[in-house]
Amino acid sequence: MVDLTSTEFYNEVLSLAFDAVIIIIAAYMLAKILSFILIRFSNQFGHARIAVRMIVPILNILIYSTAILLIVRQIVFLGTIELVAFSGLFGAAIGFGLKDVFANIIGGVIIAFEKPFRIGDRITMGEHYGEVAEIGMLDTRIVTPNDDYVTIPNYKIITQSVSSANSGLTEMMIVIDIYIDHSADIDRAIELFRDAVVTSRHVYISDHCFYTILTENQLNAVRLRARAYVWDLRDEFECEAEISRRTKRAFQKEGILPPRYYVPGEMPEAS
Amino acid sequence: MTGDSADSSESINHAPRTVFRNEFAEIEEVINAYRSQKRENVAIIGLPYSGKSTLISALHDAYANDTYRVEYGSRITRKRELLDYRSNKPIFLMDGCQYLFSRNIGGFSVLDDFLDEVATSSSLFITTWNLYAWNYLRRVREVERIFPKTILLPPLSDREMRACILKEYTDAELQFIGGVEVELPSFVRIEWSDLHLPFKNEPLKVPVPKFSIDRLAFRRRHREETLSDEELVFRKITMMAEGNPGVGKAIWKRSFDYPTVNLKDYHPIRINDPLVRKDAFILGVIAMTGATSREYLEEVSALEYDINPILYRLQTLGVITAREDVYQICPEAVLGVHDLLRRLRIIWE
Repeated sequence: MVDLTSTEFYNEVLSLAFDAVIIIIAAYMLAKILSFILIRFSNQFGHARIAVRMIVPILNILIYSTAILLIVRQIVFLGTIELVAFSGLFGAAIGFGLKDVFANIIGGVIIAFEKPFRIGDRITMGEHYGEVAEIGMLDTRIVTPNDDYVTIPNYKIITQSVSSANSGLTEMMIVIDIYIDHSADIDRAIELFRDAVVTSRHVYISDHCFYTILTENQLNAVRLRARAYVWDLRDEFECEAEISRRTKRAFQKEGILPPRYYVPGEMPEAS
Repeated sequence: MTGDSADSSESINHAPRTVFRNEFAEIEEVINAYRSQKRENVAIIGLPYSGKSTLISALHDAYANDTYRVEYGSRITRKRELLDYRSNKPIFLMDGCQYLFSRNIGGFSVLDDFLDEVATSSSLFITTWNLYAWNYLRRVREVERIFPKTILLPPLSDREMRACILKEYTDAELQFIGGVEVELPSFVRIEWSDLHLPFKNEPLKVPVPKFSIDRLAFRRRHREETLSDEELVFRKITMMAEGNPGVGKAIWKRSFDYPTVNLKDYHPIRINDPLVRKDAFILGVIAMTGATSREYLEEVSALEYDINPILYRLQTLGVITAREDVYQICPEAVLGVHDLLRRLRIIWE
């Protein structure tokens, strides 16, 4: 058993603990300040902002890894035998107590380097959909459309499927459905709907970002479906709402009726 | 709309063979091919104030007997107006075709009729389009299929810029040019930027040094070359205007105060404040159209937002001018607006 006098205790253990606390605080502050600066200035880069923000988690991992190494170096000097013994103990600790923590850290490393999603992406993980606000060492935080802040452990990236709506790009595909009556003039409706899509202030069209208008006959209505790209995924809902509103106004003006309920077998003739 | 008009809002009033010689020759080839039964409609594309009308004027002067010129100066909303161009001449020169559509629901009907007419006609159509409008219509109407020959107007050289600017002066007035006093621009200047700090609502104004590589290169070139003051002035103006004749003329007018040309104090209009999407969108519509009426902008907004605060803000920033409820991009702001709209992807490529 180690027998420490109070003087030795103060000189050795408290000094090490103090150093460790200072290193952790310094690493935390450095990570926060750099993250803040990068996220704040990423907006200056326009549609390249997501690429800039992606540096944040990698930077966090580097800062915290360096901090841990510094602390370990302060506490122990490892020779070969000590290293083997330490590894065994470390493995056991992971196996018994820190399994989830290390799974989260590994998940964080995978997210940072494999980039299944990035900060700013719109993702669906499990039952949650939202914009990735932060990728931490242990968890990922997303903001849902209802402004809920959801914290998801990083290990779920290994165990669950994750879908990213924009995959690191600023533009994102949106789908807008409009329903019209079976008796409505479908050609005119498609024309107006297409105009509403291509004249929207949020829509972006390029070689890779194209738009389509699809129709589908349903029992009580004809569904018009537009697929188009919103220029900035932050405007996803505003874009959908704007196109829907403008289309509805145009339909009302042109007398294109919304669907009505029909008894099967009594469908009206198309106009 | 005017037919056979010699005037042009974008005209830089210059002899045709001095500027855009290569482009003129390309179109001559197209006309010769048309005479040999090969019809290839032409789209001349350029930024605002880039001299599209000048090229059309030059073509009209050179082929007066075979061409009928139509110039659109404001939005065409009815098909009857469009079809006024009917003529017996085999070649149509149509200037300002971006006025044939509007960016709102139902705003493409005139353009669709026009494209249909061009596709089925046996005449040759040589048209000019605003670059932003052309890129937009490529995506939504595939106009390049109807106008397979596209000519993008290049920037003017120093000499071309000089000829273009001095065209408006008589020889007597130009005597002073040899003795102009040239003040070279500094390659570093201080700009005040807003710094947003956490837990503080009001932004903090901080001085930020801005370095201009162009200006540094210009100073170095000036040391290396022995240029006359006059050459130096026009080289600098061309560089600042990025070869755009309309912008070059605007710089000249701002900087010239007899007998001095002071380029040191000229700062191009750059939009440092981030514009909200609707402001930038309206700015893009004005840049795409040219002379844009308030009525049209209200149609574009489609009851989604109030247009007045947006126009007020854009005017306050100095990027648009208003005359009798018609709005246009300031020539000095064209390059700044171009950068901004491209960054925000309001304009497409």
